[in-house]
Parts: sequence; structure tokens; C-alpha cells
Amino acid sequence: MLSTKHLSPEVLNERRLEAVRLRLDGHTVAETATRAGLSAPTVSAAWKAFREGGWTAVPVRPRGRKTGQGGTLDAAAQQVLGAKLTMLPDSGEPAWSSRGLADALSEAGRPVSARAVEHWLEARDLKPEPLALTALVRQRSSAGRWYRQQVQPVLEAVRKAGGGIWQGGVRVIRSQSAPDSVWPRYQLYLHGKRGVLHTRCLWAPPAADDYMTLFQRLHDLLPGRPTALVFQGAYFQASPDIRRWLEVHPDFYLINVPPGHGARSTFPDRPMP
Amino acid sequence: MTSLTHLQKLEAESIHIMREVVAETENPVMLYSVGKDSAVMLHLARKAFAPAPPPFPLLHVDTRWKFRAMYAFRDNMAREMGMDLLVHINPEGVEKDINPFTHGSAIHTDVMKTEGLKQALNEYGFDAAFGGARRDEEKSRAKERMFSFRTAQHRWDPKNQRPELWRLYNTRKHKGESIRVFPLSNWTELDIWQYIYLQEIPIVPLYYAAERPVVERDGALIMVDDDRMPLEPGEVPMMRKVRFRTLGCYPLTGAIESEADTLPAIIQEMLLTRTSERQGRVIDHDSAASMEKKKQEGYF
Amino acid sequence: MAHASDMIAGDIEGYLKAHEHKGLLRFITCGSVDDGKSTLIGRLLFESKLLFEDQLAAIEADSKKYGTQGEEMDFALLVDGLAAEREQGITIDVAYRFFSTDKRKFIVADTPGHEQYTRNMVTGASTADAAILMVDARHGILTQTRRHSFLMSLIGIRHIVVAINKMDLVDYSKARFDQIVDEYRAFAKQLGLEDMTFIPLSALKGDNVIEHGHHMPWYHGPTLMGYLETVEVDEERLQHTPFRMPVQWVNRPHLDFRGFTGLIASGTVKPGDAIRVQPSGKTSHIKRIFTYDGDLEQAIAGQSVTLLLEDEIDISRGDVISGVDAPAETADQFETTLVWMHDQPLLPGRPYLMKLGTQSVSATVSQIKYQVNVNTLEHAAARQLDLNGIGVCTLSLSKPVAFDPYQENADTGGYILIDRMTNNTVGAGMLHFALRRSQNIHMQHVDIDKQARGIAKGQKPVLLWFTGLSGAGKSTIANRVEKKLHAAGQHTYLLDGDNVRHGLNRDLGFTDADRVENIRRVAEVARLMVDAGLIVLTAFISPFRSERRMARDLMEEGEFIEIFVDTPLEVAEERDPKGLYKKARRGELKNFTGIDSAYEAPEDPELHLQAAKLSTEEAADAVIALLRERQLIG
Repeated sequence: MLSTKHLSPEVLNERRLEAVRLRLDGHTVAETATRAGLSAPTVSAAWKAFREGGWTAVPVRPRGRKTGQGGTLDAAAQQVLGAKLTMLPDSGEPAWSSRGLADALSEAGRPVSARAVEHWLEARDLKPEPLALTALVRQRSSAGRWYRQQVQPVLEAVRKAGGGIWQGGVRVIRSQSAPDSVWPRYQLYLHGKRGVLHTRCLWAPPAADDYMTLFQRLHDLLPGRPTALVFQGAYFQASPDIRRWLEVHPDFYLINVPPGHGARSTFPDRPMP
Repeated sequence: MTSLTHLQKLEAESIHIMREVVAETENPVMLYSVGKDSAVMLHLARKAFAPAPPPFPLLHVDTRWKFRAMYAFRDNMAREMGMDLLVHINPEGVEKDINPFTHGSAIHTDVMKTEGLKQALNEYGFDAAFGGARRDEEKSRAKERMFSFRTAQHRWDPKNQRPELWRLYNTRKHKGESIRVFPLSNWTELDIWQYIYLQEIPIVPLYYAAERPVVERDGALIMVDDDRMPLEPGEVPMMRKVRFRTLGCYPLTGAIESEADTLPAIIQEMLLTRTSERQGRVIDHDSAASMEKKKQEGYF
Repeated sequence: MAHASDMIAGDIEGYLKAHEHKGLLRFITCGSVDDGKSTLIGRLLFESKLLFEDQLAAIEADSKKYGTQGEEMDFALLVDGLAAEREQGITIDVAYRFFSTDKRKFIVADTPGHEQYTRNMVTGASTADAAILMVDARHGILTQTRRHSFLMSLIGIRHIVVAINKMDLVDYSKARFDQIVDEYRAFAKQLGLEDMTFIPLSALKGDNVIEHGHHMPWYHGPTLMGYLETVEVDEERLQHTPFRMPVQWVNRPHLDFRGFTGLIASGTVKPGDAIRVQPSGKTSHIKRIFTYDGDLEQAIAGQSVTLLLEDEIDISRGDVISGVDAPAETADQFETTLVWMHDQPLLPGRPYLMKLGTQSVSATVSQIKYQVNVNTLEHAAARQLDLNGIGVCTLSLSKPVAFDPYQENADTGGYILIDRMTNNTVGAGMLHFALRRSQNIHMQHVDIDKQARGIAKGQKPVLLWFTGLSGAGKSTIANRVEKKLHAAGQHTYLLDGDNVRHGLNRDLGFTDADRVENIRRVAEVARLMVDAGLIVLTAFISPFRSERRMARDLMEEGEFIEIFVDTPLEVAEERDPKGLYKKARRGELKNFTGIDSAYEAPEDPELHLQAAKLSTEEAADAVIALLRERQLIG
């Protein structure tokens, strides 16, 4: 029997939603459990939640302590976090890691653990999961072909040259996790080694400058060595600025994830109907 | 006793109307907008005249700004149906390079769609044109007749329309006058989707949710369908999972974010969503009586 | 209806499956905004969750701008449409609204209760299976209620719900309800209405609309929605009546396929069934019922199909295919109820185009037996029918058509009349029965026919119809033409306007109605003379296109030669041979063509004489030349 305890709420919720869709498509609980990678009781629970409360009732509430409780992250601390996330880190990091955010809070006189920051990010729908790229290696789908032909050779070459390998994307934050008017809706995120998250929030969809700053910081982390970035959620083809930047940085490899090949969608910025 | 279902009755009525027009007019044409209503109308025309292909051509009044997927779908459809496809683009509009960005949606629609349609009808001398409009789309359409008479100048006079009783349609007209015929008048959006689902009618893939490059304009999600879409300096479109509830000129048609990539999912979303279909049409965001005016000017 | 949205969310495919089998009911609502009709429709739409948020927002905004309900949501604004009407605060046409429940889709025809809009109500009712008649519980049965009931009985609506609304304002009183029911029943008896259902309602509060509510425990009948979901649809009844299919269009894509397309008006049909084609009376059997989705084993009323027959018989648009046992009748004279729908009044004797099913024929009202007052139901004599007038008339057609009495079948017994000149739909009618007169007075078969008589005289009989203003020179030219024909040995007769008015038509004046009758008689006389083998010349102003058209239709193809003697009004008035223009100008002569009565010039005459530029001799020669060219004379 599968256990769902090890799953992050993000992944768990994606699977729960998928399970409801499978049920709607007429699959049995058992089939759905296998396909969605969940236990049968979890499938039933998700289905029941959906029957009772619609799509918005399907995702589970964050586990553990509720944010803002326990005194670790009070309103003022949250305000600091919110403000920091819309800026670039002074450290030269490409974007904020939970460590970086915790340090910034300490400087502001509100010390909290990096782990508390991470919980907070999760509760705010600011902790996207990395792409399950390695799972594509053996897939016979077009996504698998894309990975083997377009991605794998580049990553191997970069790795061989001792360069940096990153994944990332741009997405819209679920609106129910933060009121629209007081919270930025767009998120840039990166996953580095071991899936460590770096992120930034923006009030508008990121512009070429935002991306180029990000690229430049990634590029500068390992001077003289190549960098690869597998990125989803942006249509760089339409940006001459980005094209020019890439032309003058031939050792920066930007790989766009084609539509439908990503492990997750950008969708949930509005409640499901 | 057998009872006809609502879709069977709507189908029978639409077929009856199409046959009346073919029997009583000289030179009919079907306006083909490539949208889902057009798809249903075309399917009904096939049924009405089978085993022969429908005895009239398709006319697409093009604005040059439709989605690329629509052009591909259109050409493919006409080929499969074995029907003549006439494409008309207002040459004056081309000459002046009328487009939704520099001229705004109102002028673009007027020149390319309204004027373009009149030109095409005059050029080919069509005296009857099938359109896919429905009465449930908009309040002022609730009173539109199935057979709507236009003067030689293509004007619609709300005071001078003919009563329609039983299944009797008076198709007589003077030289130069024409009729717009709406065989889908009594269909609702739900009927259309349900019929597409039941009859497995092909529709443009844009109706299904997929990741597409979009930018935000006045709160609407506009798809970057080609490189004519002007972007702000430094703007980078996002890839978002979206679909379209109606199709038109891509710069004027808002997408909605959706996961619905099957017909049942689309129908489900439609039934549970609390905004009407026309909301995505940028051209509607004028005054309440705007449709009325457009109709009088000869716009559908 | 919370159940429906659960199903949509939980099992969309199951929902779709269930909704595939929904039926369709069309109904009409009668009453005024004051009766709460729009509130009721608004509620039905609202309860079936067919109002979208943006529409609701628009209504809310409109309620503030145009609404009559103060701060309350004004559902009336939902059923108003055209901008001009909205400003007037009333609806003036038929609007169609849609909503649907788990059992049925509904199409609501909404028409105003205003008196002058009989036309709209008849239009809306013509396609309805049922009618909701709104009554304000405070006011009871009003003149308007009677008028609407009469119109519903006229159009033959079989199921009527009397919705006694605003029960909340009479304390949900059973006594009040019973009182109104009794009053209505007494009245309905006169009209012969049969299936009536009375429902006490509060459209505003919702009692007995969808749910029974708790205010009227004394009421045990259906809710309005319950009624609408179960009442019989007309097509179900029609399945049990004899088979009829008016042929719309013959589909002949290649030599091996000859399909007769149409919508089945009544009955059922199966391959092998014996059929009769009317009016020709030919018979055959059904070979196949073709549809795009494959051949059918059986087709029923309401379906659009393509029939293939066993035998190659001549069938064209307008014919009616009937079951052989109970075929449609054929006739060319009828008693009918006619509802007039146009500002231009109905004139007896004027030919209109009639559309009955898929048949189009020329039709004339020969007599208005009486007109019905929609408010009092009293009968009165009438010489014409004005807009919204309702009359019982005799109607005669230019040729026999297949029909059923309207009471039995609306599709084969309901018709519209079209003005031949404006092309407007000017009337709608319901055939009662064929007048036996036309069948008893069979055309007497004679052995010597027109052709034989013509041969004996060495000529082809023809009618030369001179038309033009008074003083244009019609009689002068016609006289010269007759002289020339006579000199050449032809047998002729000249019918002159003034002469005829001294005898045959001396009972007629110069009103439009009398002018129409004058020309009708002249045309009939001319036809008899042509039948006698003569070359007939007529010289009448004949100002109206429709009457000249009628004369043309009486003759066979090529027999009617229209000669337009085109003299400008100034020239004719200058000539004024009889001093009539002067009289007319002084106002001593009313309805004088060209002065205060219209002359409708021919659009496509066989001969157009610019008479002011020609001598009489030249004009007469032009006529003779035309006759030679057409090989009518040697």
C-alpha cells in the first residue's frame, strides 16, 4: 500500500486533483489509486471532498502548524518576507532561498528558522515542485523523446565541463492562498542542486530584464564555466532582448520546456469553477 | 410511443430551414466563421442535403487576424466536405492596413467584418446567407427572426421584420434585397456543445485547454498567435494553460485559464462557470445597446 | 436543482447521458408586466441557473437605470430587448427565452399584453404546445384575460395554465382562488377550451413555481414547473394522426437517387407504407427513409427526412405525401379564420400569395363573413380587415391545394398571406373546411375548346391589356389597333373602362376596394372572351400592380400582353379630354389616379409605349409589330 505521508502537499494536492479527474472519467477507485500514485483511502477522501465542496475542497490544508501560529512568523515578519520576495537578494544569489530569507529576517530583527520560512512558503503556494525530469529518461512519449534528444546531451556536456545545472519556471500563484490586491501574483522560481528552491515574486509577469538578471546571476555563480537552465512557463521566442543576451552568452544553455511536457501546469491562479 | 429529444427537434428544425432556403432562394451561401456554431451549422447542412454535398458555397469573411489554427482548420474542413470555400478580405482594409492595434477593435471590426461581408455578398450576388447566431447569445437577439431581411444597403430595420408563424417562412424579396438566415436560432450554448459531443463534430483545437503563449491586456488573456502581436518593451509572454470559449480575431479574443481538455470537461466547466460566453469577446465591452447598433449597420 | 450541479461536478458524462434524452416544450406566456409575467420568467430562468453572473450584474445595473421595482432586482429587464423598446418601458414583439431542467428544454415565447399586438401573440402562440395565462389575483379576470384566452383558442393551443399570481397580496386566500377559477371556467366554456389547469402562484416569493412552499397548504395540484415538465407536447399527439409530409425539395444528386425531403407534419412512416401524393392523387410505396446517419426503420412527426419511393412518379415542391388510407383533402375554396397583420388593410378581391406548408398559390378573399371583436367576441360585418383584425372569410385559390383542417393539423392547415408587391407577410389564417361549392360546381367539360375556336377564326386568342393614366391615350391607341386587326380579318373585342362602368360595373365606385373589384370583373370577362377565341383589348387605368398581376395569372402563359401607355402626368393633365383632372384638382373628384390615388407603373411590361413621343398610328403599329413578332397574328 502506498503511503502519502512522504509527499509534499504540492505533489499530494496535484495527485488528489488528478484522482478526481480520473474518477470523473469513470475510473474505479483502485484504478485511480494506481494511476495517480495514491492510496485508495486518499482517493476516496479526495472524491468525497470534491462531491461535497467542489474542486476547491480537494486540496488538503497544509500539515503541521498553521502559518502565523506559534509565534515564529507574525504579521510583521510576513510583511518583511513579502517585501523581500519582490526584490533581488543583496547576496548575489539568483533569487531567494529559504536560508536567505531567514537571514534577511534575522537582520530585520525577527529571527526565524529556514524551516519555518519554508513552511510559510508552502502555505502561500510559493513552493513549486521541481520538474520530474529524470523520470522522462525512459518514457516513450514525445516528452521522453524531447528529454533524450534535446535535454540530456546538453546537461551531460555542461556537467562534464563542471558547469551549473538549473531548472526553473514562471507561474501564477493560486489566488485563494493570498488576496490579489495585497500580494504579487507572479512567481519566478529555480531549483538547483538537490532541488533547493530559489524564488522571487512579481506584481506583473516578469519582463526581459527580470529574466536577464536571473540568467546573469546564474551565469556569474560559476565564472568561466557553462550553465544550463531548463525553464518552463515563458515564451522566450517572442523576446528579441533575451535572444540577444543568449547570443552574447554562448555558454548559457536555455532549454524551454515545450507545452504539455512539463510536470505541472501553470493553471491554478483562479479557483476551479 | 416514441418521443423526439430536444436535440432531435432542434436538428429537424434547422434542417427544415436550410431546405426552405435552398428551395426558395436563387443564390444562397453559408457564412463560415470557423467557430463551434459554424461547425454545427455545417454538420446540419451536410445532413440536410445528403447524400449530395450542400448545394451552396462557404464564405469566410476574413480579417487577416484570425488564429492560425483557425485558418488551418478551415482549409481542411472545406476540403473534406467537398464544398467551395470563398474567402473574402476587404481590399480597402488591406490597403490601409486596418488592424485591431492601431485602429482599435471598433474600426477593425467595422471595416474588415461588416464592410467585408457586404462587399462579398454584393460581389457574388448572394440573396440569402446562413449565419450561426443564436437567440440565447445576447438579449437583443432574443427577438431576432430566423429570417432577417436586409435592404439592398444591407441595413436591418427592426420595425420592418416579418412575423414567423408555424413553420412558414416568407422568403420573398425584391431585387437587391437579401436575407440572413439563422438556422441555430433556438439552440443554446449547451445544446451546441452537447450536439458536438454526441455527433463527434470536429472543432478547432483552440477550444480545448493547452499551454499557449499569452499576455495580459486590460485584464484579458490575449494569445500571442504570431509576431504581429505588439509587445511592450521587454515583455515576455507566459505559457499558460488556457482555452477559448469563442473564437474571433486573436487580438480581440480573451482566453480563460482552464484544465478542460476534453468535451465533457468543457461542458462541465461551462455549466459550472458563472459568466456568459460573450464575456471573452472584447468587442462587446461597449454600451449595452451596442449589438443593436451593429446589427442595424449590417454586422452579425 | 442543487441536484443537477452535483451531478455536473461529480459525473459529467452521466449528466450528459441523462440530458441526451430530454424533451422539448415550447410555451407562450400571456399577460402584462403588471401581472408579474416577466418576474415569473425571470424566476424560471434564475431557478434553472441559466443566468450568468455578468448577466445578473448587467440586470442589476439596468434595474437602477430603467427598473420599475425600486431597489429590487427587476426581472422584467431580462425579457426586454431592443434598445428603443427599453426606453419606452414596454416590449413590443415576440422574444424567445430558453431554459432547461433535468427533464426538458423549454422555449418560451414572450409577448406583450398590449391590445394592438394581437399579431405578436398569434405569432408567438403558433409554435407553442402550451400557454401560461397570467392573472393578477387582486384583479381577477379582466378584458385582457378574455382577449388572450380567445387568441389561444383561435390558434388552437391545447393546454392552458391559468396562473393566478400575486397570491401573496390576497393573503393566499383559497376563497379568492376558487372565485377566479369559477369565473374563468364559465367564460372558457364559450370558447370551447378544454384542458385547463389553475395554479395559485406567487412569482415574487416563489410559491408553487418550482416548489409548493408553505403558504398554500390547501393547494394540491402540480407546481408550475411540475406541470411544464409533464404536459403533453403537440408532436406526441400528432404521431397518432394520419401521415403527412409536405415536400420541401427534391434531392437528385444522381440518376439512381431521387429523394423527397421534408419535415413530417404528422403520423409515422415506415418502408413499405402505401402513400398518396396530393393534389395529383398518384400512389406509390415507401422504399427507404434516408438520413445522413443511415436509413430509418420508422420516422415520426417532427423529423426531417428524405423519402425514396418505389415508383418513378412526378412529385415536386408543394406536394403533400399522405398515408394512402387517410390522405389530405384537396380544394380551392375554403372557410377560414384570418388574422390581419399589416397596416395596409385586407381588401376582398385582391390577390395575395398564400403559403400553406410548402405550397405557394394565388389566393383571394372573396367575402368577409364577419369580423370578431377580440374583447367582446361579438361578430360584426366588415368590408375590410385592418391591422390586428380577425375575420371569418371565404378564400378562393387559383388552383387546388392539399390541406387538413387547422384543428387537426397546424402544419397542413395554417397559412400566411403575402402581399405580392411589398412581399410583406400581411396575414395568417387557419383553414376550417373546404367549401363544397367548388366541388359541386365542377368545371363543365366542353368538347370545343379555346384552341378549336381560335383555329376556326384563323387566329391565336390573346389579351392586350392597356394600362396608363387617365388621358394617356389608352382608348385611342386600343381603338386604332382594333381597327387594324379588324381590317386584317381578325376577330376582336375592345373592353373600355368607361363603357364597362356604365353596365357591368355600375355598382362600383372609385375606392381602392372597388377599383380592385372593377379590375377583377374585367379580367374575368376578358378571360371568357379569350376563351371564346377572340383577340381582346382592354383599356383601363388599372393602377395597381397586384390586380394586373391577378389578370395575368388568370390567363395562360403568353396570353397576357401588358402594354404600358406611358404618358407623363403633365401631358395627360394638359390634354384632359374629359376635364377630369381639372375637377380632381378642384377637389370635386376623389381618389383620382395621379392626383390623390397612386399609379403603380408596370415593372416589366411586354410593351412600353412612350406615348407622348409617338403618334397614335406609330403606337398602334408598334403593337401590331409585337403581335407579329410573337407570331400571334400572320
